[in-house]
Amino acid sequence: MLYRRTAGFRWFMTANALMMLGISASILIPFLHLLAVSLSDSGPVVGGRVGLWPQGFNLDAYVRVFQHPSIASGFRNSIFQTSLGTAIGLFMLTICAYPLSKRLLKGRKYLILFIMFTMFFSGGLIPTYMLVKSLGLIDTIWAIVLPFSITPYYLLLMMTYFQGIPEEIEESAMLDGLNPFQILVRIVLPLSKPILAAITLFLLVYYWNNWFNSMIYLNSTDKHPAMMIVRNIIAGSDLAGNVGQIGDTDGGVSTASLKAAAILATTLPIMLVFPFTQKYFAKGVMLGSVKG
Amino acid sequence: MSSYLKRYWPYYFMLALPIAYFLIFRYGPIVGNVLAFRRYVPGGSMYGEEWVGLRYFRMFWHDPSFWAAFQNSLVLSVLNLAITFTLPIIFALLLNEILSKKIKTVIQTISYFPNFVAVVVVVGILKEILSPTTGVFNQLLGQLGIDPIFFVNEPAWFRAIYIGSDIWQFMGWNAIIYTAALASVDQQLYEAAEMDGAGRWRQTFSVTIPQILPTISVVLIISLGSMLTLGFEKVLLLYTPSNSSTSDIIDTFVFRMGLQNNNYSYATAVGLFGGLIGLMLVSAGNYISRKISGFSLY
Repeated sequence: MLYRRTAGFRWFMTANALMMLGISASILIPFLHLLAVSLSDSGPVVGGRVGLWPQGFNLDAYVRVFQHPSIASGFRNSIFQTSLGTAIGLFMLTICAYPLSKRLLKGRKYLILFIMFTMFFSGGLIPTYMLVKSLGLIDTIWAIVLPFSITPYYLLLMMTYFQGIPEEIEESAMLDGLNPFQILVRIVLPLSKPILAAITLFLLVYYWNNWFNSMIYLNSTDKHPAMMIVRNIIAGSDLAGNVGQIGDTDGGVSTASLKAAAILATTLPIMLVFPFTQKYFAKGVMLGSVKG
Repeated sequence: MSSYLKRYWPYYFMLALPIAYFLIFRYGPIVGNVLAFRRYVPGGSMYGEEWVGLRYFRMFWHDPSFWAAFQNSLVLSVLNLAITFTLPIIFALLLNEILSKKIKTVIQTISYFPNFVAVVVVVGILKEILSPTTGVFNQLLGQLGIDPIFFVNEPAWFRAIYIGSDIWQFMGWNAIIYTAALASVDQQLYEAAEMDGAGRWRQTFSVTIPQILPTISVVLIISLGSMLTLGFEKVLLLYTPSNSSTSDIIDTFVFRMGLQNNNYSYATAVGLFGGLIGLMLVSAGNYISRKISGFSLY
């Protein structure tokens, strides 16, 4: 390893380490800044004097955010949408991917083609909207959780995983008198925990972060999820109807602090779950890369 | 009942619901595109009431605001693809040079966290740090004696903001696939190269890059195919009437025409046009890749 002793190499390693540090910092700093803003007194916030450390310390912004009626109901709606959407998605993906992973299933090739075509050509925004409307799903949770319940990409991931489970295990279970439904529930699913974990997390994040479908399909604001409320707060059109310019204060709490608190409160569930689950996320993407 | 059906009917039974789903929710809207050729009457069928031929296509063809949106889509897509395709490769290569495995994992984990941050939150952060009054960037500019810039309202800054935040959000995540490819490179190749007197740079260009080239080309084809699929939600959240000269893309145009102005047929025609161009890009990318590398998506 001769090159490791050269000055050029040491210079490169130092510069590289600094750059990696810079990239990591650029990801964390915005969140630290928001945290500082959300905890600071209104004076320094309005004056733009808050950096990465809170100026003063109070939790008023969080108290106000959680007292806000539409945010409290927003969190309830988010939890409802996310759990129902994830449950339906997992169920539909499983009962679609498992049969299609059977190589001897007649018509399998055509069914896969039928499904994969929708990956490259979709109906588009307006026809989808018109469909949801003509099915009478407007302003119901079904408009949020049904139209996107099977994502072809996740289906591919799951199918590939199921195909990797040795045939012999299922064969012997069948000889023991188990039917395919029992085999799926008792044998295949317990063997597929990594992919199920990865897809569950993808679905949870998708539904938790989604606001657009709620905006176009849910007319009643009391059905809106937290992300939609945050979107309104950021657009400056909500929060007790008294949000004006960024420099304003509202009962001693600046609107910038309120926005920061709302953003952090809705991102917190992901922040808390992420460190413990990130390996499943990465695994999910890697499983996809095997297939290409 | 034949022995095949006796054994396989449960699988078809399981597929019934998913097939119904695809017919209704995926093929329904695809068929629904006929609306582009038919007149819609409020309260009437989602497939329209009478044929009008290419009327709506002619309409947008002669609409300068459509062409502005079309051009914006194209410029933003090409710029975004060129930058967000290249950076993850460089990031993965540099990350690979970090010797400590522990530090490598920490950096990697941090780098793909933003992928899971909601687009609403990303735009919220952007508006906060770019704010003309309290934003960090304008505070810095102020100390240099430069007047505050209302970044999120300036047409000239829109593309930089869009692409910059895409890098922030997706670079780490998109690098995962390369990191995995790098990890599977046979270490003996490096030892052999070193025996032959290859230095660090030589090893990178003669061993590392050729080894991950198949991965790079696969990602390139997929990105080329989905090139026009811009982050519609982010553009919509960043869109303001004052930056619309650069921020209005095909998707926001369709959204505005269709769901805000209720010109359903017109918006469907524009959306169908965009979708067909996308399909052409996917097919072209796939064809080229099959010719060059023997790999294809279908």
